[in-house]
Amino acid sequence: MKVSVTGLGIVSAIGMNLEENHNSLKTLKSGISRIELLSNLDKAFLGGEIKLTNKQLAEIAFLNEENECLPRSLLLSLIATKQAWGDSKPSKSIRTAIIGSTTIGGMDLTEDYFKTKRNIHSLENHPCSVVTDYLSDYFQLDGFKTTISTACSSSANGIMLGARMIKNNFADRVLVVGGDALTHFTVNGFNSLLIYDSELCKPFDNNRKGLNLGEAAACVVLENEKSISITKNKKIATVLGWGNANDAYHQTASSPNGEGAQKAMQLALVEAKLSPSKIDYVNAHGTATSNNDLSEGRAIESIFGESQLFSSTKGYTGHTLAAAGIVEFIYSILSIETNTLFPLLNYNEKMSELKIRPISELKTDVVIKRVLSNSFGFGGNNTTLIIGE
Amino acid sequence: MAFIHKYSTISNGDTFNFGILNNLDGNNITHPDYKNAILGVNLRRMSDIVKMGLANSIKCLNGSQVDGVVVATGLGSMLNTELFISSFIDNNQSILSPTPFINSVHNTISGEIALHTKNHGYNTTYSQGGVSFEGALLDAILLTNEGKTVIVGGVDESIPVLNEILSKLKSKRLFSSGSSFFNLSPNKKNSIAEVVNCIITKREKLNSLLDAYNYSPKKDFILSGNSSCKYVNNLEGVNYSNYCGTYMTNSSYGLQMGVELLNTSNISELNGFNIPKKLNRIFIINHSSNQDIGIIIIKK
Repeated sequence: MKVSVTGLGIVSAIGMNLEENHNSLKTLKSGISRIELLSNLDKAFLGGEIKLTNKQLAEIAFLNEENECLPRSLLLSLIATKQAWGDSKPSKSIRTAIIGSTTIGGMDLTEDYFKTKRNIHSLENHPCSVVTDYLSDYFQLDGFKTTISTACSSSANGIMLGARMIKNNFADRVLVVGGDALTHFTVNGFNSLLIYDSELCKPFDNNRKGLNLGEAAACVVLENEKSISITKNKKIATVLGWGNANDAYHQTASSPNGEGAQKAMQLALVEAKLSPSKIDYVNAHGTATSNNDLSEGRAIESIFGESQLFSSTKGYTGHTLAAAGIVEFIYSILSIETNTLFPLLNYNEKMSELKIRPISELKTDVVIKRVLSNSFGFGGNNTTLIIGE
Repeated sequence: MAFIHKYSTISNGDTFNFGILNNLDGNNITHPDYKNAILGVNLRRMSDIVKMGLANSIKCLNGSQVDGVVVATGLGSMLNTELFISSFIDNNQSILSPTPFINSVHNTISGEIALHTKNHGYNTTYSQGGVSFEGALLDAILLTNEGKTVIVGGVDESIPVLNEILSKLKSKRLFSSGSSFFNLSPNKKNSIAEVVNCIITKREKLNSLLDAYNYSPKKDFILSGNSSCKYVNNLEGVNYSNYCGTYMTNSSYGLQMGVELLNTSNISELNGFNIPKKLNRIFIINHSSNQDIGIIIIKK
């Protein structure tokens, strides 16, 4: 059964909607700046921070004042989901599921509680399910709902589950949402791992030093033909393939040759019934850590050969953790819709270990029909999605 | 179709070695001897939540390999989450150990299972409050639909700070620890139960769902979790959480209890409820979420 994408919504450091994100990508404008709203960090961190307070986000989402103390990831997710859902309605004849994905849930409020010991009820927002529960109520959905938390591959796994539910006839329409705000927990966490670059991140550069985190939320609506016949939604793109494999190598690091990454890409190609030569562009996970880019670069090279077009958009948004997969899924759709490939930012020198050369300038002289997008995470998680017209 | 081939639970009483129905009077969680249950692993720095998931997975695998690992956890490792938050609040964010950060990530459990059982297959983690396990089980059913074998389980850990918080929140119940895992495949041969369906929906839809499945008290039996079904007309059932305590993934305990009941002929009554002689199906109805219910339907 065909899995069509019929709705897109996105908020990130490079824009508060799809058009703003697209404009930033095609003008090579990064959203990474000094983190300011997340206060009391012990040093200057660069990150893809959305320069709007929770109060301003609540206003954009048309929430009243008492909702200002909702988790930031929830506010971001609500704005993105409203964009994707539009004026759609729940329907008795459409089995609609919602799949959330986050790593931090309401961690910002949990941090506040541990710091101040005030308002213990804010801890009720701690579980990862907080966003999905809220959105499910907000949009009056009464079907299946769940939340995936597989670190940085969470929302890619969300899209994969949604697509599989439609393919196996378990749902007619699925809202997939991914959202993670910047928190002290994650900034300190990646800094403690010594993989947080104090300068702008340089994915796939020979002198890369690590990642910059970012915050974002995005939502896609997936539908089968039956659902589309009722909603009359326009088909924007198709989910052609998906693959999930585990590296089973180390809790946080990728194996040197990216066995898990290779397997995930191969599984997605098999699902899509495509040979590697049919993939016009690879949107890499490309976090700019020494380990990821080498492992992923080798995996891409081994499957696609030396001339494959590929890049990573982490230099625009920062690494948005659980949201990364769905954000880059949407960027992949923009590449297909506009026959444009967005280059790496901050790129100077080719990696000495690789023969493949990433895209370092905007490419508009290409025809892009199919894109493969990778998302990898802690726990050896590797997930690949293939998107078509 | 999804068939259950093996199960393993760590809960009150020695359920790991002797199952649930033999341990209904257990009051405290009994951890197995992890040194024997998890061979060749340095257990010193591993939290209970990972040990429980790993020991149950290894038992469910019984030396075989599966195509996927699917884990549910309501809160993940709160121990490491609290440890890491405290470390950067107390240290004022100077040099921090990354270990609690790494171990706080929800998919640490599924990742460790893949790592130690050398499983390169499908791997994912669900966290949806009181119906986390039902989401994982639905994915496992999808996998069997796709012709794959899978281990699927739920695991949550009680730590002192969690129960302090629950007391302050005036929660009626404190949290226990527990975990149950299952080995599912599309093959009926040698299976011990079939998962007919797994549903997450709004509470008010329970009656119409039971009607849709032709629920009959003469042939079917209800295990209800985390509160009784009494608010629904004429429906009562054994409350499995009376035996395993409260934790967000305890419907996985309810599922194993149901599978054991389907495979036991010498029990005619459980906690005052008569079990139908010709037992057809068991409905595991989970009320642990405020708005939602999880329903797992199994048969022999």
